[in-house]
Amino acid sequence: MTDKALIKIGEDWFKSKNWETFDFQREAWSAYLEGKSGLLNAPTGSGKTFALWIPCLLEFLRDHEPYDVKPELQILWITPLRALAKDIQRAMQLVCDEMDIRWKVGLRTGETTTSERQRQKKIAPQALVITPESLHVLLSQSDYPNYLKNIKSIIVDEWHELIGTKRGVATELAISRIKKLTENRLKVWGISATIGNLPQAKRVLLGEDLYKDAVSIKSNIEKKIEVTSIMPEEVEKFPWSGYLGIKLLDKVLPIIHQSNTTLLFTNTRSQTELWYQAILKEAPELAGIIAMHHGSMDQNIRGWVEDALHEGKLKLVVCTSSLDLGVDFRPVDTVIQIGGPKGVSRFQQRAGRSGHGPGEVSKIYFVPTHSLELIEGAALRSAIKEGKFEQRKPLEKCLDVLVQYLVTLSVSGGFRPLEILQEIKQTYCYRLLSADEWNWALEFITTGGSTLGEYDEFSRVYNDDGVYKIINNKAALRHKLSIGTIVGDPAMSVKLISGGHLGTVEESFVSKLNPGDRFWFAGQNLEFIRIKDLTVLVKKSKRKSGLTPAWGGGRLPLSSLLSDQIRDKLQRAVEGDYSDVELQKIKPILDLQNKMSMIPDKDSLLIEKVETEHGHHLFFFTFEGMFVHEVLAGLIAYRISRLQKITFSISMNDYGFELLSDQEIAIEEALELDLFSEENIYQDINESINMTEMAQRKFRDVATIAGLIFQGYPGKNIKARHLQASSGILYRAFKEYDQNNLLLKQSMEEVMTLQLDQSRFMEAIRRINSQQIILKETQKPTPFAFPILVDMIRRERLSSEDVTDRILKMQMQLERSVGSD
Amino acid sequence: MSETVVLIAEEEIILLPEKGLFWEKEKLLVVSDLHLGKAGHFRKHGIPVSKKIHFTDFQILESMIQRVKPERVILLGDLFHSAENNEWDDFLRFLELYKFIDFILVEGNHDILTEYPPTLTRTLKLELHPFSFTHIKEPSDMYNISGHIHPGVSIRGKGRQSITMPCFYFAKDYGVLPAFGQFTGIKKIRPKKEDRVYGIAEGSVIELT
Repeated sequence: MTDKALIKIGEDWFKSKNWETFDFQREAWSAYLEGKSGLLNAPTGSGKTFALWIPCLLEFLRDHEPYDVKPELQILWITPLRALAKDIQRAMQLVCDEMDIRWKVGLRTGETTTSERQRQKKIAPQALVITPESLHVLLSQSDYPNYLKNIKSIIVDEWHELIGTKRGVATELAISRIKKLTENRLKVWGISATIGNLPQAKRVLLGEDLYKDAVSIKSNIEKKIEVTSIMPEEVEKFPWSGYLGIKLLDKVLPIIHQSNTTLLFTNTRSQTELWYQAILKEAPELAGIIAMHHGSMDQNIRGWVEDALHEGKLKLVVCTSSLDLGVDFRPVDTVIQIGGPKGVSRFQQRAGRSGHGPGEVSKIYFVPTHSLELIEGAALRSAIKEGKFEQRKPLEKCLDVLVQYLVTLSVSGGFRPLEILQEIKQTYCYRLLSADEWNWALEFITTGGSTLGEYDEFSRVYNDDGVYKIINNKAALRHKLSIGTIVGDPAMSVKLISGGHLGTVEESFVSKLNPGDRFWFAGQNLEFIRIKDLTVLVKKSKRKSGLTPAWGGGRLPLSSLLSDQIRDKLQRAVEGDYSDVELQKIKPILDLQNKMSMIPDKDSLLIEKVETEHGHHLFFFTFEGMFVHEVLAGLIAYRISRLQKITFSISMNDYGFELLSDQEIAIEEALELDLFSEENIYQDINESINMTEMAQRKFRDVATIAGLIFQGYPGKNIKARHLQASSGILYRAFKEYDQNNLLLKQSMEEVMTLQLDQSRFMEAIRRINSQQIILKETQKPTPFAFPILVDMIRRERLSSEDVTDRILKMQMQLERSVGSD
Repeated sequence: MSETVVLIAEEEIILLPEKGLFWEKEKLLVVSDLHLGKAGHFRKHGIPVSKKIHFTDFQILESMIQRVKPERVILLGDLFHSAENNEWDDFLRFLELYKFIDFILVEGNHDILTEYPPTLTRTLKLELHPFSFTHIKEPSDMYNISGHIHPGVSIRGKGRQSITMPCFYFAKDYGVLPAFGQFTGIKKIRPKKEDRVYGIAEGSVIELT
C-alpha cells in the first residue's frame, strides 16, 4: 500500500467520527511512515494522541496482513502520570477496534496487578502504555531483551513534564537501551506542550544519534486565554500569605454558580482540603456535586472523580497539579487558580483545561492569597499576551540515576560495561560523562567506591568475567522495589477501620497525632484511632474541626520569566503607570511602601534594615524567585560572616530574602567591601552551601535514588531491619570519611543546577552589580518585608560563631514539655 | 574538653564530653549505644559506609579510658549493631588490648550475636547500689540508668536561632545516656520542668536550664 492510500485509511476513520483531520496530524502521519523520529508540539485536547497513534497502526497495515498479529510488543507509549495512562489506553484500544485491527493495548503502571503483569509477560500486547518507572522495572526482568527487541517506536507523551526531571533522565536511559536492542531501527517521538526550548527538548529525548535527522511538527491550534484577577474590596496594608485567599470566597462562589463545571486549582494539597471545607460550609447546596482531587488520595477515588468529570456530573472539583495533564474534561468551562502559579507555562496549561471548542476562549480567574500577589496577576497577563514561555532545562550527568540504572541492568542477567557506556554516551544527559565518572559509578556498585580497603565486605554487584551481576536474590528484590526517581517523605496509608483505603499522609504528620485527634482528609473529617502495620486506622467523625495534614515538597519557585515581568510591573508603578487594574488596586500598599521606605525601580536594589523583638533583620528585595534567593542569601550571609562572628537565620520568598541575627549586622561595612562581587564567587557559594543544609537536603534525594536509603515499601512485607539510617547520618559519614564520593559532589552541584542554572544566577549577580544599592533603615517592617517575615518559608542557618558560645548566649531556652507530672 | 560533675542519687558523677558517664568512687565508666559494626552491616547490603567511622569510635573510647582510668566499663546495650561482620574482630582486638579492665555488656535490643568472648561479662541488668543499669529504661527501687533512645534536645535563642545536640538527662528516678556511636542519630526529647539536662557540644558538657 502506498503512504497516500494509508493516510486515506486514517482520514476515513476520522470521517467516521465526524472529525476533521488537521494538517499537523497528516504531517505527523507522513513523517512517521517515512520512518522518521521527531517532536510534536501540540496542546492537550488537540488530538495529539491520534497524530501519533494512527500512524503506528498504518505502519502495521503497510507491513502486515491485517490479521497477521503476533504476540510481540510493537509500540511503547510512555506517559508521566499513572492517572492518565488508563484514559489513553482506552482511547488507543478503541481506534484498533474500530479499524478492525486485532491489537491489544496493555497498561503497565505501578498499580498494574501481578496477574495482569504475568499475562503481559506470557502473551505480549502489541502496544503498552507505561510510566518511566514501570519501564525500568521491565528492564530489571531477565528476559527483557527478547521482550523489547521488536519495538518499532517509543512515543513519549507530555515530554515537557518529564524533561528537566530525573524521570526524564530515566526515560533517556531506557530509550538508549531499546535503541540497541532493536538494532537502531527504533523511531522515537515526543509530544510536548509549548515550552521555551523546544529544539533542545527534541535533542534530549531523541538522543545524540537521532535528533539531527528528526522532524519538528507544530500544531497551528492557538488558544485564546483571558485572565481575570479576583480583587478584594479592600487591600490589607500588611499582606501575608494565606490571609486573603479564602476571604475572597464570596467573589469566587458566583463564578462557580454561573459556570457549567469549574476546576479550582490550588498550589498545595493542604490548600485543597481547606478550600473544599470552606466552600461546602458557605455553599452547602453544592454537596454531592463538588469533589476533590489530589495526588495523595486513593487511586480509585481519583478515578471516580475523573469519570464523574467526564460525564458532567460535577459542578466543581478542587484540585492540585494532579489534574494539570491528561485528556480533556469536556464539561469544564471555567478554571480558577488560587495563589500565584509561579510560572507562565503552567498557568496557560491550566487555563487550557477550559474552553475546548475551536475558537473558544479559555477563561481563567486568578485569586491572590495575599494582596502583593496581585502583581503576579498583571505579570501573567502581560507574559501571555507577549507569547512568552519558560524553558525547561534538561539535567546532566545525574550519577544517582546512572547508579540505579546500572544496578537495574545487573539484576536482569547483567551488563557489559563497554556496551552500556557506548549507549549512554548517545544520551543528552550523559554525553559529556568523563571516563573517571563512569569508572567511579562502576566502582561504586562493586566495591563501594573506594580502593583504600575501607569498604571490606561490600556487596551489591560483582564482576562475573566481564558481566556485572547482582550479588543475590535478596538484593535484587530490594532493588526492584525501589526503582524510581521520585523521592517523597515516607508516606503511610490511611484506612477506615470499617474498611476502605482513602489515600496517604506523610509519616511526619502522623507522628504528631494522638488517638482521638481529628483531621481532614479527602474532604472528610476523620478520627485517628491507631497505627497498625504502617497503616493509619481512622473512623469517620461528624465533628467539624480538625487538623489539615501538611504534605511536603512541591512548592514551586517563581520562574525567571515571571520575575522579569514582576520587576517590569514595579518599574511601571515607580513611573506612575497604574494602567493594570491589579496595580491600581494595590496602590495603597505601594504608597505605604514608598512612604516607609521606597519601591525599587529596575536600576536599584533595595535593602531594608530593621530591628524588632526577634533581633536585627536585613531584607533584600531582589525579585528572583525562591531558589535563586536561597543560594544568594547563603552567599551574602557567608560573606558577612567573614567580617564578624555572627549567626544568621535565613528565610526567603519569591520576592526577596531576609537575614536575621541576634546581634547588629555590619551591613554598611560589608557593602563597602563589595558584598556582591563576582570575584571568588563560586568558591564562596561552595563554602556557603557547605555551611548551610542546602546540599544535605539534595543528598536525601540523591542517596535514595542511588539506593542508599530505603524508604520502606508500603504494602510490601519486606524487612530492612538494621538498615535504617537517616540521610543526615549518611551525609555526615560521607562528608567525614569519603569526601571524594561523587554523590556528595552531585548534591552540591544540584543546589546550583537543579535549583537554578548558573547562567541565571550570574545574570542576577550582574544585574545587582549594575544597580544602585539603596540601604533604608526603617522603624517597622514594611509591606514588602512583612510577607517574608511572617511566612518563614524555608529556613537556613549559617554561623561563624563557636557552638559553645552560641549555647551560652542563647540563655538556655530549653524546649521543655508543657506541665509536669 | 570540659566535663561536668553532677550529684545523682547522692553520688558524685562526672559527665564526660565523649558521651561517657564516670562514677569516680567506683572507677566505673558507662557508655551506651555504640552500634559497632553498623557500617559493616550497611556495606554487606550494598551501602558503602567507611569502616573508619568505627575507628573513630575506638579512638574516642581509648582516649576516654586513658584519661579517667576506669577499672570497669559498662557497655549499656546496643554494643554491636547487627549480625557478625569483620568489625566484630576489631572489637575483640580492642578487648584484648584492654584486658586489664572489666568489660560488662548490659544487653540491648540490637545485641543479637550468639557468641561472645569469655572476657566480656554479659547481663540484662546490673545493680550497683544506688543504681540499676539497663539498656531500656525500667522501673526500679534504685535509680535507673539506661540508654536506647539516643536522646537529644533543642535550645532556642534570639534571632530565631536554635541548636539541637545530644544530651544526658536525669529525671527524679531515672537517667538516660546519649548514644556513644558516631554512626547513630539522635531522637529529640522534651524534658520535663524538673529534669536536669546536660547538652554536649564541641567537647563540652553544658548544663541547660
